[in-house]
Amino acid sequence: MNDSDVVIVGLGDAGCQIVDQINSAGVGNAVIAVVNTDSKSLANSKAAVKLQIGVNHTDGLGAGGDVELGRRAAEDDMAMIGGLFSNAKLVFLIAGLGGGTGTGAAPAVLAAAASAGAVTLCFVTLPFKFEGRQRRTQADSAVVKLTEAGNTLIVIPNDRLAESVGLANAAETFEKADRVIGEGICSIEQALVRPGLINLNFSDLRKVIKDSGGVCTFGYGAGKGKNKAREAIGALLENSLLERGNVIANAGSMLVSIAGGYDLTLKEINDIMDAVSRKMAKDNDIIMGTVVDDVWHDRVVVTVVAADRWTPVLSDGAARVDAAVESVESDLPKRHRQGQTQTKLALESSSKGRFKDLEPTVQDGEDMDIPTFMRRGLVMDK
Amino acid sequence: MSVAPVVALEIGTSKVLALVAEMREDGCVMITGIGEEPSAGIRKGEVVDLENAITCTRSVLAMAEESGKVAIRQVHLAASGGHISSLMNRGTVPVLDKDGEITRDDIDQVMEVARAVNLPVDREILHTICQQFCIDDQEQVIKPEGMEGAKLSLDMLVLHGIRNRLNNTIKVVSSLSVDVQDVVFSGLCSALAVLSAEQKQSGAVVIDLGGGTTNYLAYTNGVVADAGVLGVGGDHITNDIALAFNIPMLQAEDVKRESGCAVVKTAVGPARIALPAEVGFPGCTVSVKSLHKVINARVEEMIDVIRRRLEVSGILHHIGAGVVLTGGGAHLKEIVTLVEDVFSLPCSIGRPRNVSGLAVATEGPEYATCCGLAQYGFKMQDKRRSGVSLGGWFKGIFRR
Repeated sequence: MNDSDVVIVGLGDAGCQIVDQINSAGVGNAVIAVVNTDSKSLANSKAAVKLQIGVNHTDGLGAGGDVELGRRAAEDDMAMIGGLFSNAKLVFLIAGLGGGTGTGAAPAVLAAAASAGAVTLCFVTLPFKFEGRQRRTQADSAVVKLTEAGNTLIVIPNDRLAESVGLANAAETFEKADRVIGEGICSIEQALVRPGLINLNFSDLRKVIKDSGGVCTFGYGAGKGKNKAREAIGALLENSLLERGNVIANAGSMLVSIAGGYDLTLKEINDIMDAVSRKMAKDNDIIMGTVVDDVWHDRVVVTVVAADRWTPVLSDGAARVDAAVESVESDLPKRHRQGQTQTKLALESSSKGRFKDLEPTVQDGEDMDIPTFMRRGLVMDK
Repeated sequence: MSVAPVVALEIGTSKVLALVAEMREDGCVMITGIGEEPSAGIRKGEVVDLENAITCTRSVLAMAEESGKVAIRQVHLAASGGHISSLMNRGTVPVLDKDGEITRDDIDQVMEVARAVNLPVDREILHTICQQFCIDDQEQVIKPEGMEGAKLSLDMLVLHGIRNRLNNTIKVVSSLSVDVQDVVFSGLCSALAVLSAEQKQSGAVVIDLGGGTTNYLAYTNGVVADAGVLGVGGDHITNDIALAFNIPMLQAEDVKRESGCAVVKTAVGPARIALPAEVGFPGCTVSVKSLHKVINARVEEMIDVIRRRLEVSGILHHIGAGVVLTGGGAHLKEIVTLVEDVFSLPCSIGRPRNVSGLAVATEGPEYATCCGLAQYGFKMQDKRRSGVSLGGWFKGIFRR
């Protein structure tokens, strides 16, 4: 595979902005395209190919958060979108979920790429908490829909992203966040496409994603100067996208891509891999690749795609607590924690008596249909 | 009789009850007919077996027709179920008048705005209840007409439930060729029946301890300030007992009624109760202390959930008149002590007020819902006759 077989598509406003960042980072000969309903956003983009979809429905004004409108817009211009993928072997689709165009059109665009015979990899961002429940719900259902259609998804929650880039002023935060995703995608793309010191191929990535049930988490750490390897590891393990290393610790399998300039030494690669695999549970898969290009002179970028079980909403708080616990325990040997969350299940079906087939009454996370004395562990003398 | 009789029907988890009520000249509601039967096909206040529920309701209505000597064509229906909940919605409008004087139009407008709440598509509004007005930043205005201000706000308590489930209960009635005139939240009915005007004014909570659900409704300053349903009821207590002692539901229900107690008492009386053998049940004895422990844990939890909910909505400290218990669960021994402990407020058992007639129906707390529903029915008839717009305190928007 070489560069020209790769198409990177940004869909919707968020997608367009991230693709612009990739564009400025430089990805050789890959075709870079943006697809949107909003003509203004397209006009500002620096991408080589620009497609405006759904003019009949939106008058070029964007989908306004309406998923249905986004879907129809893509269906209107299926022929045009299909043309984009005529020579493609590998397609990266980048979209922000929660709005109209990205959420609604993504399934159609992916289907078009697949029918052109290309392998697809989809990066999606989940909306910020402050964007409200509705957008989050739209995004969640889109993730489910996309995975059900057999697509490979890498999910990036914006909240975690914002944490990882720090909260400067809003405009800067957004730009920085876009750049983080852009660089990460770039390095994966390069690792897959370019001949590197240690090659990655798409089936490796596929395997990792398959392990996760179609949804992966993506993380990123960069370092610069003399201590670049150590810096990159530190940044990666502290990265909130990976819940401060928690995702790595729990990942079933993981893909690590290391990108550096020609000054990248074997020792640095070794140090990075060592640190990452030490974080991971012992018996789990780790797949690595390196890519060398002068773009990254005097820098090193470590990108991780981890098979992390994705859970819709709610679980966020619990995950954070886990992360805190994790950092306290970080010197202790790691162990599998998959069993921990499930201890209650065995009890439930047998202990609900006449309510076992009914919709449970849940209050503050407790199933009230289970006898209170059981939940409180009261001892009875029969 | 100038006013047509009202039939109040409650399809509950443990019993189906129909009351035929007439309005006496002195404005007192009189119960003239009653039909009652243990219910079938209902769990947690919702229909799970339509056919059985219909059969049961049919015979209850027939009993009520016979005892009240009326032909029942239409009923008022009490609605319950864990899906019913409430939210507070604030509407604000600018005052149109140049001098800033608030007119009737402004008030109508703000009511409309406050009522227009965005619910998920599967939900239906049951009631909207006006709270106090607010002029600019002045809260707690009762009658704003004629006052001056730049903007007028109104909080509206919106009670809503899942449409399909409400419709399932209605379907039970309509498949008997009987019209449903109105669907009213059970908790509201209970409160209407048992609270006095003074209690409403100084703040009171009515907790209706039903078979499948526990409904609650709080009044502060004379207005319904919060309401909701917890999908846990007397059935859960019985189920807990059955599981704790490995006895059938029937025996568990009996022992709950006979020897149940909401607090664990330090031994007076026998330490164990003997459950007599029956067909398919060999008989056994259970420890009284354990029995009370099981019940106490469950009931204390139920009451505490409601206390916490009221705490969250910030009205726990505005309840001066305390807690009033209704529903079959109010018969549980020492329940008053338990509720007083949990709430740290005075508690009493509510009995239907201003209702006369059949003694059996006007005495027990388990008849409060239907008595209140009958009163609600007459109130609405009154309004319809005198032509007052329905935009007042209660409005049953819900129609089939």
